[in-house]
Amino acid sequence: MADQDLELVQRFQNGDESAFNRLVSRHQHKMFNLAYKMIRNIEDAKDLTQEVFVKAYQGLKNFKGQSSFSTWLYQIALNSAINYSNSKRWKNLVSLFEVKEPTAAWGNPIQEMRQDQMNKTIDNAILSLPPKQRAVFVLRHYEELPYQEIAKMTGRTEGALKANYFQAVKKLQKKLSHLR
Amino acid sequence: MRKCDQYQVKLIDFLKKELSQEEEKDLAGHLSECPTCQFELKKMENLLEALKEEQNVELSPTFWSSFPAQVRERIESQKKRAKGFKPSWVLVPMATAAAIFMAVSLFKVDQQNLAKRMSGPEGTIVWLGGATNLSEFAAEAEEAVKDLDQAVEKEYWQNEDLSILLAELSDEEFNSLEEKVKNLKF
Repeated sequence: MADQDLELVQRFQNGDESAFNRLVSRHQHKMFNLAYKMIRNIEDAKDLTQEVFVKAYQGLKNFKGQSSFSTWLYQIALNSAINYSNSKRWKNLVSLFEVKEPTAAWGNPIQEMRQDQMNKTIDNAILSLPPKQRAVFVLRHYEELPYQEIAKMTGRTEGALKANYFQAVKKLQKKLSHLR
Repeated sequence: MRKCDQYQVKLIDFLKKELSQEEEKDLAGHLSECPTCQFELKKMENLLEALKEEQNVELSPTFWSSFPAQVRERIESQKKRAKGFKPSWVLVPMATAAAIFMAVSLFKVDQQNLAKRMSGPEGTIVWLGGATNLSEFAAEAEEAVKDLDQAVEKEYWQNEDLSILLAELSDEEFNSLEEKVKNLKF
């Protein structure tokens, strides 16, 4: 996997533009999921995912391969998502006018309504975490990355990350305790 | 840190079976004799169960098949815009002012209020109560963010979104910028 990325990066650095499209295809789902878990809005997450790849394109000529391409891309996505969360631009809009894409086939309307409410409650709980703490939670819980790798991405110590993760979990517990 | 706190930090990794054998054994030993931590463990279990109910977002295959082309289009459109005319005597102060504007907006300045206040006489910027000549403002701002100037000059007009540049900053650089902006005196 990583070797294929490296080969594509080298091809791009040698002038093969099509190699970049391949890199996008290989990582687009992962980057979208990370963006969505961080900002909890489908349209914004789509936009942010595009932005991540535009930035990757701009920086790829200078990519030295000191970390894997995937880690490097995660770093860009994470910083973009944190920054996005910090800006007021989307904060005021969050979830107010969101139109969710249909995600399942026809089903029981009551169950769908319940699911929708459940999703919103979880979205709001996760959005209430401070962006950097949210990032640690998303990387650890959803992406299941080891602390060591998160430490490389964020420049924090593993101890600090563990404490951060714990704090995030405690806050979510409070917010979501009524769900179970 | 209390003894229980040290264990509770590890509870969620315990539930996900991501602790080392040694840590797991140690924690299991503590749990067997600590009702407080047992209760915490139960709460963690409930949280994980609640989070499992969350539905994943699936986008259509059509969206994904055209996604690389959309990215390419955005790249090309930014390249085109980057080719526009930008004399450096306009670029540096403008970029610096933009850096300050974006940075301050990130530090929770009320943007709507700011937008109202910025509508001063031509050539001035009305800022936190007083009108400042734009060139004076730029000179002070330039001093305050001199480390960023070159990067701003290079990147800003290409990206047309300074948030992209700011997102690249490490925590340390970001904090340093934050301090500089906080200490600006107008």
